[in-house]
Amino acid sequence: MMKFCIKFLLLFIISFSGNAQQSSSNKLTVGITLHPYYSYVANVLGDKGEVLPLIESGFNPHNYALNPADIARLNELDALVVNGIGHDEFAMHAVERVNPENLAMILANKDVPLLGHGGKSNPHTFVSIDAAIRQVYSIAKGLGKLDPDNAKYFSKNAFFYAKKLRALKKEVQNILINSDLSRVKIASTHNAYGYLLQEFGLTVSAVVEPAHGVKPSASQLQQTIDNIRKADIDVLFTELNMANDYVKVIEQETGIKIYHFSHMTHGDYTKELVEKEMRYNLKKLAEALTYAANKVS
Amino acid sequence: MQSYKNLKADTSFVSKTAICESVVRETVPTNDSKHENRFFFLTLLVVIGLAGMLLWLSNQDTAAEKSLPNHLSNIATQLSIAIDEIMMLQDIGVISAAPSLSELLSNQLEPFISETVIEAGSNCFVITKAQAILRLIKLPEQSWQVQWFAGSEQHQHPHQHQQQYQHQSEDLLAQQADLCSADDGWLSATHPTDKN
Repeated sequence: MMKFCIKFLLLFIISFSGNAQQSSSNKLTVGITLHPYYSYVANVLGDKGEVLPLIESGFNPHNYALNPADIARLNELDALVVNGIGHDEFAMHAVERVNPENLAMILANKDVPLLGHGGKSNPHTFVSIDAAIRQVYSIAKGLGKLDPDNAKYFSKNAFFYAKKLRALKKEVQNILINSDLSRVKIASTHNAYGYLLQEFGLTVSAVVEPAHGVKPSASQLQQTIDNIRKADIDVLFTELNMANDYVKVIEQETGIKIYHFSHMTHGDYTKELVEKEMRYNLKKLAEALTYAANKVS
Repeated sequence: MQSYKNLKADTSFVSKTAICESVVRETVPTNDSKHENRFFFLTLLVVIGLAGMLLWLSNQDTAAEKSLPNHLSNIATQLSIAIDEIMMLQDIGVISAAPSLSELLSNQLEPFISETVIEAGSNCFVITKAQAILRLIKLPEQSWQVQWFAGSEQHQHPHQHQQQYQHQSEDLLAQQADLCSADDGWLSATHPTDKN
């Protein structure tokens, strides 16, 4: 009897550990390259998988080069979700070079109608609500192809996440409903906010930085100051968490009011990052547009 | 030995005669450059023809790759999102296989609730905005697509197209575009190189 009990116990343990191993191996491991994509994927995946950032937080994705540990991480992934239009070139190059077996690439922007000029697209689709929702649905579709049993679960999660993001926008729309924004003129330090502003019917009249994080030269700065004065710009949006002292010079010289937006590529990777940072951005946008609308009226 | 010497002498005589008889007379034409001129102009014509053809081909490519104007990007994004949401609502039986505008409105789908949308046919919704037309359409045996009207074939030169935007009213454009057909003038809003 004792022997039988031990055998039964062993059998139970073996079969249980086998099941546990199988269920964990059935879960998807999805890599991401930028902070917002962590939130998108985490919200879509729910408890059916794990999100693995390709690079540690705290590094600038614009000029990052993958190290051997990052490349090893590539081989652990079932899928890699990428911006794919210019904000995570480091990952695109690495995948091209390493060509990991069984890695599915999910191009989040494949169905986003992009902003751009002369064949060059603006990659900041993640600093937006609508373009973010479009990407969330594309990610859900991509993950559904990899795990067809959970495809509906991913779609449902995407739908509810989209609803959450839309609710954030609705709050600001309600604040601005009676404001006349038709004469408001906007400048930004780099062209990261085009998608977000377009959702409120606004366009950027002047872009200050020649490239992301690149300070304008003295002559470029003077030119910008002249342009802002000439175009009668009301507000300037600049990036939070980035040292750009020249913005103060513009403020002093032109009397323009400056507001800070989050670029959403700093800090820890969290499921709530996009909601938190977008709420902040939309609050700042509401403040800026209320100020500008009162100024021009 | 004697006979060999005679034979050698005879052979040399025969070969000298043969050489004299086979002298080639070559007539050199006067260098009046008529041939060169003809060759030059022919080459010039071929080069011009080839360049013209390449220019025409590259213009064709530009027309095909014409991308969505920036001011339509957000509304096209919302229409593209609507595709996924319509399919999801169809899956759970909330809306019909060929949804009506009122069904989309009652389900609070963007951009139907915030823009003026025309239900131009079955599975065909049209929005006119800033002198351009966008449509959300499901053509027979195809999936849902977001397309924008880029003008008919004869209007596909970018300069002409710009003038077209400037001088034609939205109504005229709406008449010109066959709103729910598989016309060539409709381009994909999300994939610039895709033509209908």
